[in-house]
Amino acid sequence: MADPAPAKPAFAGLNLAEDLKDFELPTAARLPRPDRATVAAVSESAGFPHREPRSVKPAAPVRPLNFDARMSLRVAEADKTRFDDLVYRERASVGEVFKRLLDHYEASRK
Amino acid sequence: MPVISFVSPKGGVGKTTTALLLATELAEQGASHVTIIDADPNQPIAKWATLPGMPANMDVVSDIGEAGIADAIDDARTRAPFVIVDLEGAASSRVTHAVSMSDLVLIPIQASVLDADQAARAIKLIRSTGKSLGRTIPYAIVFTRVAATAKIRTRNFKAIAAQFEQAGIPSLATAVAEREAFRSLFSYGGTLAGLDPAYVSSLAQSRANARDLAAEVVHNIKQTKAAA
Repeated sequence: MADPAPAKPAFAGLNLAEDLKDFELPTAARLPRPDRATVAAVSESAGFPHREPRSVKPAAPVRPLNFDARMSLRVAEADKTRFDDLVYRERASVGEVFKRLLDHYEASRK
Repeated sequence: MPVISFVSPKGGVGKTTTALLLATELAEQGASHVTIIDADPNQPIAKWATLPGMPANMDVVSDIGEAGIADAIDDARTRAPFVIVDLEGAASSRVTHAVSMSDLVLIPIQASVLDADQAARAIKLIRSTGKSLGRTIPYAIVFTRVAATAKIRTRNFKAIAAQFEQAGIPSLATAVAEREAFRSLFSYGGTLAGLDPAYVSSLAQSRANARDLAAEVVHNIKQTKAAA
């Protein structure tokens, strides 16, 4: 009776089970670690940047609600246009511009 | 306690499959313990670990951020003789931190110019990192999803392999074949040894492929250690 076919040898005749015996359980001792800043710098320069947010973005300060009284005005169309233009140019809220107009008027009366 | 990282800035090249094949084969063949660090935000190996059949001498560490990868590797290498790191398919500093602590970096690619270009980026990173740390970080290309029969190699495969060889870039002789069994690991869990040959085709050939991969990687590391 012919011998059974031999098992196929592992890659290039290497014996994995035998090789694995050389890798024993590690000790608890920590190995030296590469410097984090050095690694980060080389990573950035190689085009592998930090992609996670570094810290939580601070919340924008809450704007105090100073203009909370509602007022309805009947004005001339042209004045409304002038007022809207003024608000736009000042890059301020309607209430803020209205307040500045009153301040200016009162100052001019003194 | 070698740390073996799988790196490519491109997704879908076979990092996770190859990492899992290597880890499970090492665990099956007698490694006392294998830790896989699943540093892919999609956590494919952590999901595999929830399925039945994970060897008792394996564990999976997941949910690792960029800041925590170095700590995770440092912890793992104190308790396991083999640490396998599966990284995300992106160019991030998480990759560099893992590379900086690796004893071997494997760069899986399919036989395409797109993958080869991204492999070149990874090689540049590995060399730069090694240079800045004053040590050589060993690396090798692993061809993945190749035709199961070595006789059927595409022109692309031959051309890209020749280019790497001419450039002095090492590549593993073992290529990971396109096998149903490898995909099945993620469906059924466990290892190749635990799959049912009635349901998975070419299981014996798949196991031989995985064993060859593990044997070559371990031998590669042994040779590097001996030369150091």
